[in-house]
Amino acid sequence: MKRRLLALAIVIAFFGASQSRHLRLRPPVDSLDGSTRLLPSSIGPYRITERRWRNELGNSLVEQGAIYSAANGASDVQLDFQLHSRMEHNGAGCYLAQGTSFVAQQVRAVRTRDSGATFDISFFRDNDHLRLVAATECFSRECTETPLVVWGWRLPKLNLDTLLSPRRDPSTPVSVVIERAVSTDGWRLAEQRLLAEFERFAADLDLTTVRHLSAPE
Amino acid sequence: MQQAEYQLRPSYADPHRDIGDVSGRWLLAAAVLLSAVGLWCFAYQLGSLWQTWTNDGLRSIGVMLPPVSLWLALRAWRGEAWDQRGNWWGLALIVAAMLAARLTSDSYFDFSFYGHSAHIGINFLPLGLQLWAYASGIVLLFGGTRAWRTAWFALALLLFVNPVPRSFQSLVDLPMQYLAAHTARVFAAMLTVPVGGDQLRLMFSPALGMFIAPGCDGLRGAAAMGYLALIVGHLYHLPRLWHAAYVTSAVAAAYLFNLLRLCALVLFYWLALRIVPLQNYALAADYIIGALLFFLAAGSIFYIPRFGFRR
Repeated sequence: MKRRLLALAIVIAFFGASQSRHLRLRPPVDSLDGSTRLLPSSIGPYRITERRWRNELGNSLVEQGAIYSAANGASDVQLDFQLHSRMEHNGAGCYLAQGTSFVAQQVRAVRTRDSGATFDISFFRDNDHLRLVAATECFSRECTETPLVVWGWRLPKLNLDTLLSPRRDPSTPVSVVIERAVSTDGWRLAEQRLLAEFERFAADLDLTTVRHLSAPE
Repeated sequence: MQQAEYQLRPSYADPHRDIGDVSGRWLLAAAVLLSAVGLWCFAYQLGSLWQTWTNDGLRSIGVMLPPVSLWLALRAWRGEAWDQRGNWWGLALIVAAMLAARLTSDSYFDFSFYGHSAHIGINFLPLGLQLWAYASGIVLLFGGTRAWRTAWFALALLLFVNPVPRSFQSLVDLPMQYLAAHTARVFAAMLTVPVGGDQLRLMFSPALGMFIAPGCDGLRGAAAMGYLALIVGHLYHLPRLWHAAYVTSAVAAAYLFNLLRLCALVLFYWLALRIVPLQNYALAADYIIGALLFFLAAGSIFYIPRFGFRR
């Protein structure tokens, strides 16, 4: 019995220490300061609206976002962040899980105000509306995204480093959602217009703060 | 002779048992304490589970399963003998469970399938499996295979700490919502209650505020009834085939009672259109009708096994 207790204690100490390092939290971002920096009052011609949210999702995960609108008749844009995320997260997965019809997907490098980012861009059809969901994950050095798995296995890249390292590099998932009604011009044209609209919005989007938030301690 | 030998062997679940000297009891206490400390290795997963239980009405029933599992295990071990030597395979199971917990803390392990109307991601390292492996490992390590076999049902309940997997919900939710709304629509037509177009899928009347979907598809009741039947059937020692049929019938009955509830609400709506003061009590009527039907169904669940197909 004593040997078994000792063996169990060793196993718990090993995995417990790994878990402790994994769960060590970064100091929480001050909500007001964080909101101001992450969600500026304007992004290019877009102005922030009253529709903002900050949801505590548990395990210190916080979802924060807002709707931006432009006076020039462009569609409203939803900008959303997941702070203190410990898992990979592609925002398009949420829409797929809701049962909306998937139309197309592409990975695209987009110019942003600070430098650039790689977005996984998915299109969903919802009745007579087409929705663009652009997702990226900002690490300290770059913003890039693992493409959404629509069909097939989703497994982490396992190697000795991933097993022994206390946790993956911290990241902040970012998603941009734009939706518009499809006119008689057809779905293909609507897709192109949404894409152009997204690129215009992204060109004024500064992701420096987001990358700073994702910096390891 | 064998019976006499069996009687003399010690039992863990009996507080008055003789399990050896005082140091043996301290070792047992240390094993229990260490096992509890080991749950720290699942801290991230348990935190997520707590969020699910406290924020998701459909899955909140899962909070009952660990205490019920513990109670059933203690009940099963009462008067039973333990193999004091334990089994080292338990340690392998514990390591596997902790490794799975470590890996799933920051990555997904699932098979994704995009269908016409739903995205189904089947997680093949779910938390229930991790907890089951950990608890099984502890029991095997300190109690041996006999203790594990005795409490296999109680341990298996841990597999369902997430009582309704999202993939299952994706599969059945929409069809069941359709069935519920369609039944309510047919019944409303029979009563000549004026409802128009696709509106019925969402609500009968904005004034009365009776919503049909998605909370009214009966999934929550079916889950509660299914797990209740599973546990009650075990307590009644039903043979496996009867037990499976019993659980299936309980789930089907829950769906049937949900349809009855919707029809009763349509009937209430029909009455409320004629007796105006009733319109102020629509919410209360929903609760009363739902509670009456649930207790009727739950009462039946407890009563049916008494008919005599116990082992």
